[in-house]
Amino acid sequence: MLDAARCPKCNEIFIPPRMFCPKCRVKLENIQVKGVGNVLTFTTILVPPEGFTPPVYIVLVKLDSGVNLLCNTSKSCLHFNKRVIVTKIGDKFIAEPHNIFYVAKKKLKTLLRRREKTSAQEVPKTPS
Amino acid sequence: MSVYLAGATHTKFGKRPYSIVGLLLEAANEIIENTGITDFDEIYVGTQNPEEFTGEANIASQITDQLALTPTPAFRINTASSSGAAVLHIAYNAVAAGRAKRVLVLSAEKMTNLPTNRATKILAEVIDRSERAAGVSMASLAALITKFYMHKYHMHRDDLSLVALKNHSNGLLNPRAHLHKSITLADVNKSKIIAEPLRLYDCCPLSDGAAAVILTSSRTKVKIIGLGSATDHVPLRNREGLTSFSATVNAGERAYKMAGLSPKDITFAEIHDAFTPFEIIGSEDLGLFEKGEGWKALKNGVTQIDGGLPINPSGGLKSRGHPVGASGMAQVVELYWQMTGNAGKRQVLNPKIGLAQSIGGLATNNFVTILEAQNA
Repeated sequence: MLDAARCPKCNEIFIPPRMFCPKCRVKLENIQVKGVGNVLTFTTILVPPEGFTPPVYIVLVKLDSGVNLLCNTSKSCLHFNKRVIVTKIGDKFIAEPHNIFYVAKKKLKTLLRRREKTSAQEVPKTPS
Repeated sequence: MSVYLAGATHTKFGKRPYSIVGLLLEAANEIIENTGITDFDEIYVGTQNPEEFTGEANIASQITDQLALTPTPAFRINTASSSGAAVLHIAYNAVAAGRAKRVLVLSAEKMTNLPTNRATKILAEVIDRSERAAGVSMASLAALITKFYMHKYHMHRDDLSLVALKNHSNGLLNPRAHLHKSITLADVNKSKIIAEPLRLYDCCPLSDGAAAVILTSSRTKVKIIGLGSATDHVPLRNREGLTSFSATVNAGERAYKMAGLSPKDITFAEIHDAFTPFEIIGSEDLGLFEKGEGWKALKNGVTQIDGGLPINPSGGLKSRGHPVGASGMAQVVELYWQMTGNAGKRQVLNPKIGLAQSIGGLATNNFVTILEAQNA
């Protein structure tokens, strides 16, 4: 889920949240929206501004809630209408493919983390 | 009160040895020499970001001091990459209101002293903070728009290149242009990718340069008949559409209304082609062509110097160069040169009513200026 703000008058959603609706000029209410949507357009930046290492993959995503979001992504998401899921990491929005592999990968990661924890416990303590 | 241009010029654009103040003085001295006018009621200077590009500040006072024009009131205007147009619009008010009889309007930027990635970073500061965090530059946002336009209107990559080919060819005829280089489709396709699908030849160069205009209430050969400007949401994600800039549409409508004209009355235009797709999108937003038809008009040769509606006879930002604060005024200077028969080999046949469109930021603060050539 992503932090967002909705205009009580026109119902338009803004991510990241902002104070006023730029169209209705009324105060917005904070909500959470699902980060799932489709790729509207995309680019690969080979000459980015100072401080970034090329290639930088960018997608503009239209979330199912109707709001657009500019995200960093991987090469596999660079397709029109690609189904993606967006998460926020630090001040960046990251779009990843949203399919069965994504769900499986997430589950596998959780599983691995659990196993790492277990195996870490299994390591015999070196005698001091 | 009606407002006329008593003179207009710009320096050679390109990699220049002078500081930003030196460039402004070069343009100012030339226009003062050309017109013989020295008694200005007010002075205006447009620049985007000399503070960061050059470390110079307090530009307006520096200019009056260096030109020995103190204590004339002087002001500095900034609307990002449309500053050169914005400053003209503001200076217009002084004359139109009857407060000033003659106003010196200057604009400039100095950019080539910095490495490209540093200049790109400074230019990218006009982008929304959250989107900037992703690593986007102006070119990358333009690339996202281009990709969408190509997909929606079935425009081929080679059609886009025609903007670069035309403007490079026009720039060859402009002695004050930054780039003097004839290019082919193959050259465009071989050039370095900046942000896919945009290549190096789709992007205007970073340049140094200054422009100068004198506005007056006395009748001259060139009159300002239409002015319009408008802003738009800064984040790309909050825009209404991706194949049109509402700031251009709104600015255009205001300028046409003031002039009492419609798009079909325009006989030639200078359009802000910082990236090749922007010339096509601009020509559609201004109503010169239907939506999605701009690239077809270009392909059919309509926008060539000898076509029915010449666009960017100067070579545009693509070839003349883009000292960001000066470009909006350099476009108006080109309209003036065309209307006074001083455009040399790139002279258009019917320079009766000219339009200049300037983009500030990623089309968040756009300006449209319409000039009319007066009968002698």
